[in-house]
Amino acid sequence: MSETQRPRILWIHPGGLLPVGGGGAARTWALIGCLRDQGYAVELITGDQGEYNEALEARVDHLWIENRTVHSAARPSLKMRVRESLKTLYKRIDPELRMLHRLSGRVPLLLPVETDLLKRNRRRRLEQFAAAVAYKNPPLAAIVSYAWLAPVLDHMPPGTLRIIDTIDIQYKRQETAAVAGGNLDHITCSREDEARELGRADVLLAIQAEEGATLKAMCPRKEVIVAEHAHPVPEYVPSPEGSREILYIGNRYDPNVLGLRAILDHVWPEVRRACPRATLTVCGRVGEAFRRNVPGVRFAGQVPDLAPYYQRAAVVLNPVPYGTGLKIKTVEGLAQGRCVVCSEAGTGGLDNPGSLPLVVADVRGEMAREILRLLEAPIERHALEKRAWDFARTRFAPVRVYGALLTRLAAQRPR
Amino acid sequence: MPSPRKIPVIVALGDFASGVTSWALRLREAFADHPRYVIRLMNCADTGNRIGAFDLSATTQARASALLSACGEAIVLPNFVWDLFPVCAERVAAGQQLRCVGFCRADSEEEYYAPLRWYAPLCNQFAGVSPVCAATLAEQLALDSSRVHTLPTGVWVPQSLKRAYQTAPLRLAYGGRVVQAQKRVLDFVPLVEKLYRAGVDFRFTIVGAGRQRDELQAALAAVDPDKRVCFEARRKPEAMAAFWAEQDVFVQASAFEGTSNSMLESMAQGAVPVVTRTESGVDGIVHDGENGFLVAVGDMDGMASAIVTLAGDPERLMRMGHAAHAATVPYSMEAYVEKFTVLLDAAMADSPRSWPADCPIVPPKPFHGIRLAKDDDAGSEKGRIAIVFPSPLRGGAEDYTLRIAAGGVRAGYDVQGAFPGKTALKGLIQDYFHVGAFHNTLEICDVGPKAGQAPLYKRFTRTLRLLRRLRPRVVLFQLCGMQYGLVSLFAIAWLRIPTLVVFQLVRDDLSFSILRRAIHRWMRRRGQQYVVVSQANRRLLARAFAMREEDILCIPNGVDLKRFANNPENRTVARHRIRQELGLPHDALLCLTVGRLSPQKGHDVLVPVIPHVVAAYPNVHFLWAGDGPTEKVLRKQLERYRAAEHVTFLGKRDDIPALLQAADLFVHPARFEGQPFSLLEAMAAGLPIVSTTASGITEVLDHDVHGLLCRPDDIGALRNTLLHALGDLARMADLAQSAQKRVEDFSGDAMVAQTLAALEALAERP
Repeated sequence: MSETQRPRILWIHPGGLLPVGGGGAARTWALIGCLRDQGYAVELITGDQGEYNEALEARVDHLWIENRTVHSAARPSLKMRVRESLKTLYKRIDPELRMLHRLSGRVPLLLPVETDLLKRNRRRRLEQFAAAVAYKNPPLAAIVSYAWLAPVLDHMPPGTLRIIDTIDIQYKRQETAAVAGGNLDHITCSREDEARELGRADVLLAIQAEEGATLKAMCPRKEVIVAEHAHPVPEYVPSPEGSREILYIGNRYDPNVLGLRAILDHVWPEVRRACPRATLTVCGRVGEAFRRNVPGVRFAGQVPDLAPYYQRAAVVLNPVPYGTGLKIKTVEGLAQGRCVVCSEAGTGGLDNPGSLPLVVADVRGEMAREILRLLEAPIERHALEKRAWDFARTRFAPVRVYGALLTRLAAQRPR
Repeated sequence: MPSPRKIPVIVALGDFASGVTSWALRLREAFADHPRYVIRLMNCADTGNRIGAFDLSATTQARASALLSACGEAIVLPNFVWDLFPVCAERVAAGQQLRCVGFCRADSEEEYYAPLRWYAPLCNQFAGVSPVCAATLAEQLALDSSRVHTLPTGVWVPQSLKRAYQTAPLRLAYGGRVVQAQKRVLDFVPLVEKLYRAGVDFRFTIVGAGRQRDELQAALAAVDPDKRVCFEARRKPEAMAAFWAEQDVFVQASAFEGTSNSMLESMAQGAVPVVTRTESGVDGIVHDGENGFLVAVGDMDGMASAIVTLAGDPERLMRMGHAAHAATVPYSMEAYVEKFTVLLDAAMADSPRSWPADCPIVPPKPFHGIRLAKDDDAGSEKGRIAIVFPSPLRGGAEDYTLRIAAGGVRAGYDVQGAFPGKTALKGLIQDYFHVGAFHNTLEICDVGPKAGQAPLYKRFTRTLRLLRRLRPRVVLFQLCGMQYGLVSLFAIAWLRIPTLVVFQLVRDDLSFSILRRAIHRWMRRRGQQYVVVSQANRRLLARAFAMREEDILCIPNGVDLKRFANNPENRTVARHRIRQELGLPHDALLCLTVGRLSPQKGHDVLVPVIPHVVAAYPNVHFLWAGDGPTEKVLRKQLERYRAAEHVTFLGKRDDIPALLQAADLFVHPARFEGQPFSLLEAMAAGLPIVSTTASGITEVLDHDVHGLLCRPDDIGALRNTLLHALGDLARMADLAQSAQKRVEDFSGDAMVAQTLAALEALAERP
């Protein structure tokens, strides 16, 4: 099919797609990949991502960057430098601001912290930019990631299929955190506000069936399609027999931080006592929340490619105490053909935990024992890995996961 | 032997570049060596002495009286400073030997004939600048022909013409006020378009300033890709002769004239006039086809074809140029001095005329022209109100002050407006005069593109100086935005003048620093009372200032219900007229938005909605009445959304009632509001309304009862609401009817009465 014949889909994303730092980005790439495989030209509209722009360009049919900075060898202007410094500073003090906010309770702060998630993350310039792109050549469909980008859809030309990939149900995040003892007070979102934003779309993508039902209840007039995460499944390679490496991947996000803290406090000492050769590798920004040296733990930070880490790992952990949406790191672990040991919340969005080829264990209870068992018994481990891989190959195949969405898009295409 | 005393001839005029000013300057020069008379120019405009060449200056009646008194026996030409007549009457009554000459400078009932009719008892002699003006005066005032002189303007005419002509490019020029009302400057747009189409190589210079300059510049930019039209600021009168000597053709599209100064000046220098055939001012001067071309008013095809003729025939151009020069010889200054002397002699031969004792000298409605403040003291029966606001643009809030001013004048107050003299406010200044209030220029505008450019202390001292001079009993300070005007308010508080501070608009996110709150608290202690226009704004303001809600007055806005009331006959006519004027089909559904083009009004929220609306209803067309700082941005935005063809920018309009009658739906996408006048007007006109729930709107309109409301700043909500409304216009008409009943609670008279009562109570407060 020639380029001009391929139906265009605009994908509007706020940024942070590369390096893949969290489940949201991973899911977006999986969906984009699937759509391109199915013959759609996917054009990505996003913010400037500096050195990653080239890599982004390679993964989509066209890249539109709002407010692109011209990278040159020349020294940036003073204004730009001050702006960049302030941005960096803000990123650094962000946790402290949150702390202050938490301490202050409901007392109005002098600090300008906007907690309303939908307001805080709204990107008015991106909306205008997306409109300019869309009206130049109207697309078949426009997909935005997250509810807070929904206003972008109001700027799409008539006839465009407007889709929100919700990824999470925002108003539930705080609720779930409170129940599980977490704290997401720095982000607030009411059900009404979220429903209003979601109402801007024609189609809502839910990442799992339960959330699909919730979305339907929130927006009864809207079409809801459940589109889980379809992860590419590489060839199965068993974990090295003598591997004692445990892998934990996570973005800097409260449930991940709490999960890792629980591992370090309750699981890791016991594992190390029983198996001194065991190592724990922590990939992703979650490590930034831990400023201590723990024997046997390596904080790798954000890495460009997770494949080598998966290859070396004997066990993959997902100990999150709570969360919404689908646990993408669990899906990834399974698709990589690795033994996943997770908390019950770590199976969120998947099938009945008992039917899954993974180990569900309580962090404060048997998790350490389960990890040790898998480390010490390679035959049993390999069998579980193979089952996981087989399961992922069928369960997370793109055509199965995204079938309903593909059908909907096909129906939108002019005959 | 001492030379005999020369009789001073006081010529009153304004401090701005115009044909009259250049005439007056020439007159004074020509009379420099006159044996009997000396010309004294008196500036009566409070605009800061731009010309700088006056002998006298008076902006109040008291000052004018003192100056006239010092002149002794004299002749006064008040021109269009009509307030000078009562001063003359007072001086004559005091025994001074003053003679008045009524001078008619244009063939206009409103501008000259009516005021001259009123003040005729005081005039010893009359003069008209054209035979038509003189004849009309004589006829209307039943004057003896010996008392009416025809005095077309005099110009310096060179003895011989030594100049060159060219046709590549042909040099066209216009000099004069850049206004549409009389000069019809917007006709230059089709003219330029036609010249391009005809392939004429030309350059067109427009010299002057006026209300429509920006509009004209913008419109010409669209039809002038090669930038052949250039604008020049005002030139000094003495520099104009040299300018005209370098032009080939003088163009003028006026609807009416007296005798055009610039036309005569240009002809004297050999420029060929291509002008409209006005009732007055061209007969006997321009002979069609011989020394120029005459076309009907508005006939730009004719004007273009005359210019094409000249461009294609250099010899004819030169021949006609020389003939034009020759035609001005009878209008030379030398000849003019002789005629003028006859006029002055005739005036002196007559006795000073006094005003009849049984007639009031103050007209029922002030006339057009420069006004003189009554005196330096608050002389009216109820005292003086100063209305101050720091806005550079005219909108609902500024018109609100006009209504209060009119009400104040009717109630017997001396009302003094004090606000910037920006071009965009010229119309408002005129309207202030019409209602009998005065305008004092107060440049305290700290909004718009020039925000922050004037130092704060200047705003403070300007306000202080003016209010010290005016000495009002009470001030009404109208704030277009809460964040503006602090310095002026501070100056008023400093003077301890009781002040009603009216907040027409309070933003939802308004908040102040502790210091600013303290300053406002101090100012309130010095007699400042806050007024808001809606309960929502009251809550917001109380929160922002940490004060009690009950300490803030709430006076809802109101409209003149009669002015906007719908009438089926008017409606049919208006629907037809507006659609025809805009070139829209008869069945077009018009969605009207009235308001300043600023982010607050939310036009940008409406833009993304338009493609969806026209996709569903192709006969919908949007009309946006109003101007403002975001016009360019909005035009670009409309281009981006491919919606430009579905929107017509109407600019500032005076015929809002007709537009409301002609429209099918009123769309008000405001982000935040006080209590918008435009919405009340639409309600009064019985027009179905789609609006937002911004601030005080919900106090006037109930959703699905009086109109349809949606969330402000929400494109999706506005789109759905608008589509819903257009899908059920019958239901919308029912809602409009109930809105019309509802708006009866918001009458303009009640608003004015409550505001005046609040001012009075404040002034009386110990």
